Amino acid sequence: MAVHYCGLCRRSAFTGRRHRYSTGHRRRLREALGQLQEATAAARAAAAVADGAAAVRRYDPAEHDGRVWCPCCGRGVQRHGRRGGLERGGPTLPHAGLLWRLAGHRRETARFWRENRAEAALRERCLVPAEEYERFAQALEQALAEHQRREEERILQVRSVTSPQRPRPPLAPPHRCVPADELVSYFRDSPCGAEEPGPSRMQTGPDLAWMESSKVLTFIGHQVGVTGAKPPWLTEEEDGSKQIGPSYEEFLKHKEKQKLKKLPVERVGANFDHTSQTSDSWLPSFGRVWNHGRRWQSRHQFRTESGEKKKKR
Amino acid sequence: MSFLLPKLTCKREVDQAIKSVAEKVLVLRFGRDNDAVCLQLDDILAKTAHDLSKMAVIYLVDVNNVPVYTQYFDISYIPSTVFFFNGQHMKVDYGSPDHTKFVGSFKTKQDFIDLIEVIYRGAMRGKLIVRSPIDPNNIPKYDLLYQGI
Repeated sequence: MAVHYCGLCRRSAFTGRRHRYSTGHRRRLREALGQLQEATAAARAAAAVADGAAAVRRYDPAEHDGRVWCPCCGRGVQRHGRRGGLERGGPTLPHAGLLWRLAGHRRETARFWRENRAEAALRERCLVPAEEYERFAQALEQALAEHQRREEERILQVRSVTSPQRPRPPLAPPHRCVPADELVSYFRDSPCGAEEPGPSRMQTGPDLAWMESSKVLTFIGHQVGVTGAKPPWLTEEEDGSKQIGPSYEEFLKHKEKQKLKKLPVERVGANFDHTSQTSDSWLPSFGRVWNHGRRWQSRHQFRTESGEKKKKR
Repeated sequence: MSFLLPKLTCKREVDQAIKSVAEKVLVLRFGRDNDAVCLQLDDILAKTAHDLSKMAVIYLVDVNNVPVYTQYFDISYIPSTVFFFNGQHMKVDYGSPDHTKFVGSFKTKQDFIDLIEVIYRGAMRGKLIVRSPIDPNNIPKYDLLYQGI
């Protein structure tokens, strides 16, 4: 059989396509889809209830840099989008990155589901309908405008407090207004182009005006605090209760597994999946008394028999 | 004696038992708690359950509670005892017409212990049917009728 590389298990399977029915593969598939579903549900719930204006916040790398692995596209997806691409210092757009990916990867999911024989019912849970995304994008645009207005107000307020005596030219708006269809481009990594004047670039240090008369120094920008990130000594440290290494439960599970490895591989029902969920109409395979053929066939026989009986009544 | 052993009262519980018992023989006794022969069998099962706890898990099932399984397993006489291993049904050749289940009560505790041991060893070797080690004289005789003919 052909060698088949399984991207999900990250190894070559020499059993060909039979590999995707193996217990390990099914388990990995279940775990990966479970994580994706969880992330999707969280993002959709947040998008549905979010009070957009409150949700758009200043970018904080510690909080907003999380990525979600999308097994369908085979890449990590930035969970939160960022206004003006990743390099520009815009505010955070909560869950925008993930939702954009979920709305756009319909074809990839179809391929993934076909290749891995995943349950079709789960697919809708890993997708976001186009109209829902559309609604989300509009709400986000409004929230952005609101956020921008608040920022400008704040800047004006601060300036009036710090230097009331010296009039300055009116400040350029920190960000230009962007139409909805351009929202998409926010989440792509934009090349580091010309910087727009923004609040983070504003000169707030000591007044250097006294030097202007003799010699003009070249200002290359503040080197500290440019990103607006919290300095490392101010971030709260996690308390040292985090355990290193496997927990006791994991150890027990591992021991159980080692015990199973010692049993003969050809024993009856060696690869029976004990954790599978089944419906109420499930029946074990049972070689019936008057049955000929394989044991699982008696199940079908029984179903047809009971079906006939019901019809007769 | 039936109060000493765990009981399964609905189809879902039986399903769960068949699916979840791993690397052990699952013994399902189909019968009624107040039947005379069932009482005899339950006594043997209850007294051996502890000795066999590493090889077998024993459950009592009331035939009236699970009509689906009663029909599917063709249980026409009670008590009938069915064996499973890792979710697979184990057949045993008792020398009686029916290989799928043991009908009636065992004569001694040792008979039952021997049978479980043979099933366990057979299953570990990958056998779906084993020969019963019980003396044929100790196995109850009965006639099996094909669909009531």
